[in-house]
This record gives sequence, structure tokens and C-alpha cells, in this order.
Amino acid sequence: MASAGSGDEKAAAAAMITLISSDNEKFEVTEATATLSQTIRHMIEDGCTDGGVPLPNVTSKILARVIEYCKKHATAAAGEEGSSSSFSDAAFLEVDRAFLEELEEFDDAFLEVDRATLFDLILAANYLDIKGLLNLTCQKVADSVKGKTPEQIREMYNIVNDLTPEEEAEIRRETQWAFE
Amino acid sequence: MSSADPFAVPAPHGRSGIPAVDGVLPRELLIEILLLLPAKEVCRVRAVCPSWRTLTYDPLFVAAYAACHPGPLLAVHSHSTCVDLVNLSGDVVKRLLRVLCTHFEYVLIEGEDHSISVLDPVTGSVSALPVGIAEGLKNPGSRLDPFWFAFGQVASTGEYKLVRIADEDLICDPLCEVFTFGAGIRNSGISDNLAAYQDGIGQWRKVESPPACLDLSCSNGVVVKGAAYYFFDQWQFEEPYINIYNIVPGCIPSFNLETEQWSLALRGPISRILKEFDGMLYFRDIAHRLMLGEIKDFLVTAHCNSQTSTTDLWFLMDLENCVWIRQHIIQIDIITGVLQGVQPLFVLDEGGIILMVRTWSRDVLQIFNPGASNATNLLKRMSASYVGVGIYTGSLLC
Repeated sequence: MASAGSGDEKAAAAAMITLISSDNEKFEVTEATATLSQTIRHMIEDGCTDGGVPLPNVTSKILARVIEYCKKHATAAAGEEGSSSSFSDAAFLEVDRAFLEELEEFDDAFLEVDRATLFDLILAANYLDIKGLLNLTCQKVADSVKGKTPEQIREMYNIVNDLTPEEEAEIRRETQWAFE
Repeated sequence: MSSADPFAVPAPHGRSGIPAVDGVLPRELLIEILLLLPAKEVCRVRAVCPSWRTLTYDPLFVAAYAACHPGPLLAVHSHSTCVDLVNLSGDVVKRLLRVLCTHFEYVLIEGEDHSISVLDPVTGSVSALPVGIAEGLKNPGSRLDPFWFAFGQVASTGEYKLVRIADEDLICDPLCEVFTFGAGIRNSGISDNLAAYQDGIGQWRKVESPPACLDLSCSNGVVVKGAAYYFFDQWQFEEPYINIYNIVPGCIPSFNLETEQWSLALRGPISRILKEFDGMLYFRDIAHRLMLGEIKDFLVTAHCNSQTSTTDLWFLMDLENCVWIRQHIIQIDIITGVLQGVQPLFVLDEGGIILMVRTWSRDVLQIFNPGASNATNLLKRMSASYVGVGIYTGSLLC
């Protein structure tokens, strides 16, 4: 039973998927890494990944970053499954905590990118349907807006304000408390 | 309206067709981001540009936001003009104006002359209730007029009823009025339904007055299983008044929201409490240290003992036979002032009980976890006095 299980894992680990970016660069990734993307998972289930998966909406630069994220988090997911049976064991909890901290540090470093890259990552995460990455990147943008005045937000994201001064004053009156 | 807003590409892209253009996010992703913001920030970014404003007022967005940020929140009425909605970390997430009481999804707003409006939390629209008799009383708007309220649901019909009791000159001839909302309030505003209301639905009706003067400290009746519970003012239990009113000391009056009748059948746990003190205390010593609350559909009498700084929660287990059982003894740590009363407000899913602790100098919101022996402060900022505290589980984006 146990040996059969590890055999399956080996088979799964050996299955490689080729992802092809919009600029025709090829990336070889494990199935475990690729299936963090629900979009690719469905393609694998439908059996249409032979000859590589073309991703015309994702550049090689962004795809490389996305794969970096998926590799790290695929390992994390595998680690969680492995330790869940012995969750009461203090030593395992300690290992889990260390791993989660490492993952958090990875995420923080991963987000140290310019705004254009961050937006591209959001678009890619949305297109590939990678929930964790989408949440992470959207949260980064949300955090950048927090505590800012409307002027600062407009400046940060080059938003043209076509509210008239009267309209803006009215909005401020409506939600006076939000500006305190 | 056009806009060069990099977020504001209004294309309804599916997951497969989003163009990766530098620095531009489609609407659906802007929504993802705005859903992550605290309510205060969402309200503030409405002033960024028209497209953000339209988006954040969109009922679909408001509904999605509510789903992402489930309550409960405490509605804390701390000054005369506004109410803070406070999350369980003690942060003020929203400030509303002039709120009378909140009951899960509804926010009732008290205006001048005791007129009442209902704020629809989803659309943000405010509908004024029709004028009743209480608005015609003299000294309108005076905060000295005692008013008692209760808001609850009639189980058999699903209707919501608001009870308003006014005692103009404290002469113990209170006026009791009921406003019936009908079952449709949940889905549509009152104003839409007004025309359809007949037979007393959609207007104030005068009903039976309370049998004696109600206690000023219980201005919001505690509603449990379709009845609103109050206390009587305790001077009526003393000589010579006790012979006039002929009410048993410790009786808890209740107003049945369905039959709209008052009942004097319920006795409080006061005789049990007196027995514990072994003749050391009298009725008048503890009457003003009691408060009513509702915990998980049980009526609860909270008795606070200022000597030991503890509060006992007595649960009404059997309404017909007036059986009360003490379920919790809570140690209350207060910073200043003498403990005056403790009211249980709400029970969280995890079992924690939110308490309003009144002292002579200020009121404090505390949270008590049944596993622990004492309660801890909830609010970072404490007010001199809370007019009322309710629970609000509705939307924040109004």
C-alpha cells in the first residue's frame, strides 16, 4: 500500500508540462507546479497539453516569475499534506511554522517589483486562475491605496479626475467620516 | 463619462481574453482589489474618479463586499449625533449618523421630534417612517422625554415590529405605539411597499400601555422569541406605591410582539439572588444592579456585584415556571469608577460574550470568553457613556 503510494507520487513528479510564453519561450515545469493554475489543471484534465501549453497572454518575463511563485507554493502544499496526519505533534508544528514564515518571506520578496510588473502579475494570475497569487498581488495594490488621499491615489496610478470640484465636495460630504 | 483611469477599462473580459497592457487593469480586477480594502478606504476612494465612484456604489459590488467582510459589528452609540460601527478588534470601521438601534440588517435612525427613519444598508437610502402620535407630544426633541424602544420579529408572520413608548411628563401614563414593517422589508425598501400596506401595516398604531412606569435604564427593550422585556422603575415596589400598582417585586414586564399585550407573568431571578446573600441584602439593594440581555435566544438577567466586581449571568431556562439558572460568573476588571451594571449584548460564534460594562464614570465594552475567568476590554477608545450598543451584520458601504 505504502510502496504503491510512493510509486504514484514518483509518477506524478516525473510528469512534466511545457508552458510556452507569448514570445515563444518554453518552460518545463512539473505537473504539481503547473496545476496551481486552475486553467492549466483543466487543460491537463482535458488531455490537451501534448506539445506544450501556449499562453499567448503571458510574456516570458512574467511567466518566469509566475513559475517561481508556483514552484515555491507547490512545495508548500505538498509539505502541508504530508504533515497534516501528525498535526498534534509539537515538532511537526514547529517545522510547519518555520516553513510558513519562510513562505511569507518569499512572498514579501516576490512582491518587490515595479507597478507595471505587479499589474502584469495580477493579469497573469487572473488568466491562469492562480488564486493564491491573485490574492497576494491584489492585496499589494490594496495596501498601496490604504491611507492615501484621493489626490495621492490619482497621482500614483495616473488617474485623470473628471469629477467637478462640486461633485468631489459632495462625495466628501457624503462620507465625511472616511476623511477624518 | 470617459476617463484615462488605468484601472477603468470597462471591457467585460472573460478569464481567457484579458490583454496584458502595461499599467492597465480591467474592471473585474479593480473590483478584486477594492474588495480587499477596509470600508473606510472604500468610501474614501469614491472621490478618486467617477468610475470608481459608480463601481463602489453598485449594488452588486456592495453585496460582494458584504460577503467578503462578514460581521458582526458592534453599533456603538457614543454621542448624541452618531454611531460607530466597531469590529471585534476595536477598530471603528464606519460612522453613521443618529442611529437609534440596529438589529442585524436594519439601522433605525432617530431624528428630531423622535421621528424614526430606516436606513437601508444595501442601497444607502433612508426612508422616513410615517408620523405617529409620539411626534405630536409637547417638548418635541427634548432628550429628557423618556422613550423606550424595541425592535423584533414576529415568528409566526415574519413581520418586523418597532415598539415606541413615550412618557411625556413622567406621569406614568405612557403612550405605546407599534409600527409593523411587513415581511417584505428584507428585500425592498419600506417606501416601495407603503402603498401595498393596509390594515395597520405601514403606520403607527396605538396599543396597550405598559402597566406601570418602565425603568429609564432599559430604554431599548430586550427582544427574545417575539417578546420585548423591560424592567419596572423600582420606586413602584416601595411603600406606599407598592399598594397602588400591586406589582410583585422583581416582576419583569414583557410586551408580546404578536398579540401586542403586556404580561406580568415573568418573575426575575431576584429571589434566588437574595437567597444567595442569606438575608444580607434587600430587594432595593440589588434591583438597580440588574440588566437584561439576550444570549442565543435566552433571556438573561445580569446581576453585577460591585463589592466583588463580578457579574452573574442568570439564564431563563423555563419561561412558564420562571426557572432561572446561573450559567456564568464573570470577573469584571474596571479601571475607574464603581461598577454599576453589566449588559450582555451578543454571543460570538466562538462562544465569546460581548458585554457593556457601565460604571459611574464611563461605559466600557468588554468581551468575555467562557473558558477564561475574566472579561477583557474590547474598545481602544472608551466613551463617557454609550447611549446604546447594537449588533450590526449588514453592509458597510452606505
